[in-house]
Amino acid sequence: MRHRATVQHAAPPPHDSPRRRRASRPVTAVSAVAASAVVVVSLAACAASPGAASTDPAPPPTTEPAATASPTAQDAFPLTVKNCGVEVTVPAAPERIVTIKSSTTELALALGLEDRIVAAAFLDGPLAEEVAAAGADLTILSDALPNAESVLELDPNLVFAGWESNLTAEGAGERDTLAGLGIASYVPPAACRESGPPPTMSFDVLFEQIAETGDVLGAPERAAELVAAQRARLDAVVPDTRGLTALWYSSGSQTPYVGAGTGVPQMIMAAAGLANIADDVADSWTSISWEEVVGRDPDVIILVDSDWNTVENKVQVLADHPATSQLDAVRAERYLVVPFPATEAGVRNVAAVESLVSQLAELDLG
Amino acid sequence: MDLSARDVRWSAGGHLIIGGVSVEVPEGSVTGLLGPNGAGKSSLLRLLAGVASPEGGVVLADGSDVHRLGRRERARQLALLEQETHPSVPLTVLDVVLLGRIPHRSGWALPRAGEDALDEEIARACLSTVGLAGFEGREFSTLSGGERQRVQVARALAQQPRLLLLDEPTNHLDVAAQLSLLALVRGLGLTTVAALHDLNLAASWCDHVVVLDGGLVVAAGRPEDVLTPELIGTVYGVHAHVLAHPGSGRPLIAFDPPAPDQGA
Amino acid sequence: MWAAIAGLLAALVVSVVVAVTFGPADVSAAEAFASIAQHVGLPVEAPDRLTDAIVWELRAPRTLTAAVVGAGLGLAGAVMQSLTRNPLADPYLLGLSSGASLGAVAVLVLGAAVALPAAAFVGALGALALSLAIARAAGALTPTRMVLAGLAVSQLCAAATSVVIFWTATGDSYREIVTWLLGSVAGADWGSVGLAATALAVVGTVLLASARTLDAFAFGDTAAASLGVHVERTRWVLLGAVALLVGAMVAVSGAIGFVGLVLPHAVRLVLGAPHRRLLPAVALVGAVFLVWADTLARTAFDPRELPVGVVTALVGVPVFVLLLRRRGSWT
Repeated sequence: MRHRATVQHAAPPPHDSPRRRRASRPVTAVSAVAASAVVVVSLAACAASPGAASTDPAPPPTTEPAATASPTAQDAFPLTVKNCGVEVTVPAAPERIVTIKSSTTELALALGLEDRIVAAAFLDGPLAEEVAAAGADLTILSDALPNAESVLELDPNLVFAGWESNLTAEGAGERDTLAGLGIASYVPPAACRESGPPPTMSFDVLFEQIAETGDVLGAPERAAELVAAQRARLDAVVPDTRGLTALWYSSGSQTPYVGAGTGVPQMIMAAAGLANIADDVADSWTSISWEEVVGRDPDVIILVDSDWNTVENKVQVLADHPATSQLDAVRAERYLVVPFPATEAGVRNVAAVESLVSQLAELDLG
Repeated sequence: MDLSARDVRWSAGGHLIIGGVSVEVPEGSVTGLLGPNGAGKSSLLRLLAGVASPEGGVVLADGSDVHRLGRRERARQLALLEQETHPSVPLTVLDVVLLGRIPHRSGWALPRAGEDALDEEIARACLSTVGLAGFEGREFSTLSGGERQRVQVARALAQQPRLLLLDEPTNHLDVAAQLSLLALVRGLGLTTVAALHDLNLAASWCDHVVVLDGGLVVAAGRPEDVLTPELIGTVYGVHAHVLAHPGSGRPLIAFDPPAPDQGA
Repeated sequence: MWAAIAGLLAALVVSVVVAVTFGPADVSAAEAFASIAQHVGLPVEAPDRLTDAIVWELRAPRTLTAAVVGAGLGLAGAVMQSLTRNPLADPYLLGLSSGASLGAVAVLVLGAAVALPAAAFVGALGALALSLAIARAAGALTPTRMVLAGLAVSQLCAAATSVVIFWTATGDSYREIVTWLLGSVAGADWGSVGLAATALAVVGTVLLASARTLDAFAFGDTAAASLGVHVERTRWVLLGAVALLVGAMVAVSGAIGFVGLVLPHAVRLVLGAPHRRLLPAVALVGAVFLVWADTLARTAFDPRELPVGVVTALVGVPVFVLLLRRRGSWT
């Protein structure tokens, strides 16, 4: 047996201490994805139309319109209105308005306020024909949701936002922050979701809301004229009498997002004489299964056209899907088209009804 | 089976942990691997078991290079028991012992008929050997420290090895459990190498001791020859007296408390 | 034990058959069976075209996909937990689901002209490669390094996904990606069934065959090595196999959570940890579980539809809490 008799006094080398071979940090990738899903879902919750909201309609948001419109618009101010659960005070007719999204921009233009709009942002497509000329010189602040600083830089009196979720800290600014800076904020009442789904839309409700908007923006007479003109056009529409059923297909390929029973899509379809196959769902839009769609076999399909989800794309989805491709409406291509901005409450809804009726007239259902 | 290491070297993280160690372990003997913390005992055991590969030198078991053997063949010859580890999933005692049968069955193939029954029979026999017959269905983590160690020994036995390598098997055990475990291992009659930190246990239990310090062998031989006060003082840095055990006559080491000027 | 496996197999068959008769559309059980029988070649009269489409093109592939994905996720979760010695590991640990989400977002939001499943699959494997590269750069592939590298890559991909959504999503285009992130088998067709089933058959065989090897990891790498296992090579091979399996599952159904995390523990409670029993059982339990979760998702709020990932979370979380309380001894 050999051994080294000499003894070393050098510092001992690092010892492999017994390693506990357990990874002690619990971690899941699911939590990371879930966290980002929560972020996005909460964005969705703030937006006008999430898919899984409660089915019980909330009581209508109370709006207290200003005193009846007087000849001088300025006499109506200062004005207080309850908008999406927030008390909004407008001290004088706003001279510097920032509009976000097409519904609000087009409404403001239709009220003749193009000179008072300092900038528009986050539009959903080209402006409606009727207001395109008025809006030709509009300053476009941004194609995406603008941030609070760029909005504040414009020194507005009022921010007219299309969705409640536009008015967040990452967006145009929280409503109370803006109010603290003397900037009023206003959202079309049909887009309010703070207490659940909005009440059932109808053209009467829409016209009341346009009137309120006119009051808030300081153009009550123009609003009254606009409402009268729109009502006249609506009354002139002859709805389709064939008792057709329709699917309002907004987005989604695995699970379609469709117009449901109480929102603008339903309002438009009813006025055009179409029965909505999803009208038993008490929400403005909803996620539904393809099975449901196929089971209910709509006579026609309304396709919402937007840049991010075109008509061609939706037609492709319907034609490729093994079940929907069996529907009569798909095989015969009984499609009607509505542009996305017309699907939100605003000045384009009546035009959408007219368009649907004329498209239906051209459809041969023989 | 005898085991010898010839001039084995090994580094980790840029540090030389084992710097040229040669060790002879005769067949059937119980050899103790001693040395202070950081001496390299665990590393040497892993090198001897073939689980780590030396950078230089060779480890021979019955004359053949341990690292030239196939992994499974090596696992059928040498069994290594590490310091206490906890399983990451709940296991019964029988499950733990059955792990020892893995080297005898291919990990990748589907089971053949009769294998399961044979494995279970062997596992039960090993449990009996360590005195834990009847514990098969118990949950491993509910056992006492001593019982868990014995289950691990049973697992090692299920490998049907010819050589047993133990890394500080008596840590965390009370005196009675320590003594009974060592008696059990001695009684198996296998060539055994065990890293120990308790000099008295080593003295009373080992046929042969190897003392490591700083990754090198400082002394090797019979306990009574190696464990002298001078060596203990040099390697461990403590004053000690070596007496003879009244019963067995083996070395009995009595330590002096540290001198006042050495600090508390 | 074989009795338990046989029982689970029977339960799976019954579940699939029954689930096909459930659904929002008004289809009777007789019509459902007639549709299937007719496609399978039996001389039965087919129901009308639309009912047939509903049963054969929607419900059947969807139910089968749910079964296959459930089995795959259960298997992958069990193997991941063993390989990483971490009871909280799930199939998506190494960035697989976040990578797939990034791939899906590229298609759904940025409009990349690639099939969604392909993009998700590539994304998953890309994230895995990155995780392993990071873990390997620190030295040998140990469980701790894998977990930490996977966490880092997951966070990276999740952040990138959020940025893309936030930055470019216009209108309501975020809706599709949110549904996808929550996991759903709603879009399953016979192609999905084929892809998922192939992956399960191939990888599942490899995993089942390595059951004993997986047992060896119970006490750590050194113990596994001393039992004759080639630790590093085994880890790489099994990780690669799991990644392929999970990549295929995620490509087909998005990242359905909790199946791979909770079910292996539930099965261990009943049948024990040895993989020879655990793996086949968890595959079958996963399959049955997801079939029913999906059935619930598509019928509970008729006519609305929930993403199945929501149902699995709602069921999985309380079950997980219960398990943690009962089995505190080994955590």
